[in-house]
Amino acid sequence: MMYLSHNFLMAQCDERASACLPKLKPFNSNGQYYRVQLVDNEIGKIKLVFNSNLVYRIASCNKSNDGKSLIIKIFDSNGKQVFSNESDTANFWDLQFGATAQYTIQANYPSGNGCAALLVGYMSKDKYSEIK
Amino acid sequence: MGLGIYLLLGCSGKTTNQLEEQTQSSEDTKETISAKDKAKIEKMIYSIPSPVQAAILLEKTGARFDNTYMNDVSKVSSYQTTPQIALNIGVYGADLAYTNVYKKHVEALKYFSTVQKLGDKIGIGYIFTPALIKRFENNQNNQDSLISITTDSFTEVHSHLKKNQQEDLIALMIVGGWIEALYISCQIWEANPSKALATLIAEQKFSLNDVLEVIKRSPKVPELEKLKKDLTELKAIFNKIQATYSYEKTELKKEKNLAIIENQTKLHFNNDIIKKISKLTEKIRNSII
Repeated sequence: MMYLSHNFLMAQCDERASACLPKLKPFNSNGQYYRVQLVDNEIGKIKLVFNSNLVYRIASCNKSNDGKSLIIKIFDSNGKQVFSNESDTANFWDLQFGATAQYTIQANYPSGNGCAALLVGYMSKDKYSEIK
Repeated sequence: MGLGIYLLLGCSGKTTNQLEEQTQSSEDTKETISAKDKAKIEKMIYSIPSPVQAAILLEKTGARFDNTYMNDVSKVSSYQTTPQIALNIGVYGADLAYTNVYKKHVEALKYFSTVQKLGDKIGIGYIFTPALIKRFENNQNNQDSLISITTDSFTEVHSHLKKNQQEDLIALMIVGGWIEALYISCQIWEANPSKALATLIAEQKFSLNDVLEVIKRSPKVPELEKLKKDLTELKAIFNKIQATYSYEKTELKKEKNLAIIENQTKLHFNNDIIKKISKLTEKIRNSII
């Protein structure tokens, strides 16, 4: 029963992420829906390599059951925070990196529970300069 | 560059160590895993750069297209077992991304059909509908559309396999694709060495860790166990590449929703290391195709 419930919640989460795809445009999706159910201040984490020759877009696709936006933080391989959207939980943030390296994206709701769904898109730096 | 399109598991919790411990124990008791535990282990995700991303970065180095490095489509009928098929969907997927990015549209269509043929053998061919193939044909001069169709198709493949709890096949596709992209880069570098391409190859040091995590957290099947051994050997060579890192304060441009994270990483390596990576990558790739 619990398993069905988990599957049901994840299916809902998938739908949220899928519906969120337009937020990435004109970036190419990296092909993944990052989604997870967060309960009681739990934290979701994604390990990701960001390349310095690309610009990335991170789009947040959902809110908690009490209407809070997802807090997204990015940490470098030494555990030092290099980004946080706490001061501006916009629907998306674009990210440029000075060097290729592995980072950890951390996502949590400040209160409440819910599906955390994130999408990551990318485009070349040249193309980004053209559109901005 | 890097490869495969997808994700991996993880855990909830307060510290990374705790999470890793939970995941390890859950691997050992996979059959009896509870729904609650299953929910917990999905909270850390390891992500591998997509084949398309890999090909875009390859093109940015100035590397020229060479179709002799791709896996021959005539070999498609020789893949009979499910693991072989999954691995080579990854391989052909990387080749497809390579042709798309370099705008080799005739070849791209050939590789798209090949992926569909292999997909049919393991029940995912339905994703590549005649309408989708037609769309692919009709958009031959629109690179963005081709990339989007390719990415969406592979996202659908992985979603189907995940729903059917076939994470081992997802992992095999990831490894197949990652190795193929690395192989192509290495072969081009061997024929025409450049600093930019060598750096791109060296940067795979970061992705390889995630590829190994994907394997580690996937169901234990003999093919993945063998690849884990091969890739661990490859990692030993990559470990000879030293990375020095310096932190710089991030610049936020709120009016553009843009963050410029100016950290610097310098990789220290020589051509001998790249040659060793190339040689072992070729050996692993040839054991797959």
